[in-house]
Amino acid sequence: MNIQLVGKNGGTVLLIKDKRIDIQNAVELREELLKLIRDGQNKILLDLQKVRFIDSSGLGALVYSLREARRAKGTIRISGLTEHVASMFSITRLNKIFDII
Amino acid sequence: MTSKFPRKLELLSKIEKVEEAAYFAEKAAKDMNFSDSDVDDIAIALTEAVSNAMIHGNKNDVTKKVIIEIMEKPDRMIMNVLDEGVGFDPHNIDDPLLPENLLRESGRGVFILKSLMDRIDYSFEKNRTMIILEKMKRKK
Repeated sequence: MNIQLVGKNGGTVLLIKDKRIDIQNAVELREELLKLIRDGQNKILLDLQKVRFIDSSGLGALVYSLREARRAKGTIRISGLTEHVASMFSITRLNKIFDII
Repeated sequence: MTSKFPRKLELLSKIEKVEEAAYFAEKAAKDMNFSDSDVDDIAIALTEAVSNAMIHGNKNDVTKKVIIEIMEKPDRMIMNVLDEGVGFDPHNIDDPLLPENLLRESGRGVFILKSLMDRIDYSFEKNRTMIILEKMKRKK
């Protein structure tokens, strides 16, 4: 998983540099996010502008991480959704769960 | 460039092979002149079907195969995904859109398949499960 820390303004800003979040790297993404949350960085902004493909495993990893962030009184916000990735959030109604900016 | 169909791909049940399946479907969909958005739908749907076949069908047994067949009809694409599992009850799948299920980590795969494809069907035989995915061709 290629994740770049791009800022810490009001939270941790992460740029996902992989084109795909799928069954191959979803667990790795989840573990990276959980590590940050456990370390107290529980306000996370995920920039998905480079991602053009997400499957149910990728969505599941994000949902699980969101739950853990909320449990730690934090949150995960998402930005930069490409058209098709946005449609995946929309058909699964995860656009109602995540704060998408 | 070959645009001949049917095409067939056989994979062992290794998760790292799922991407190969996605590209196989993507290439086939492009060769059938689907729109970019439909190509993405088809690639994701096949990813979901192959992941399900490897994990739930073949139980991650790397000696068991997943077979993908892609056919072209005048009005649609048909993809068959076969595994060596004992099948499942397609009616016994929780609705991932229910409020109590929205925050679950898993359980969206079949729903995504149904949402992205125009028709899906199943065929169950002894130690062979087949899911049939159809996408209609539309004018761009």
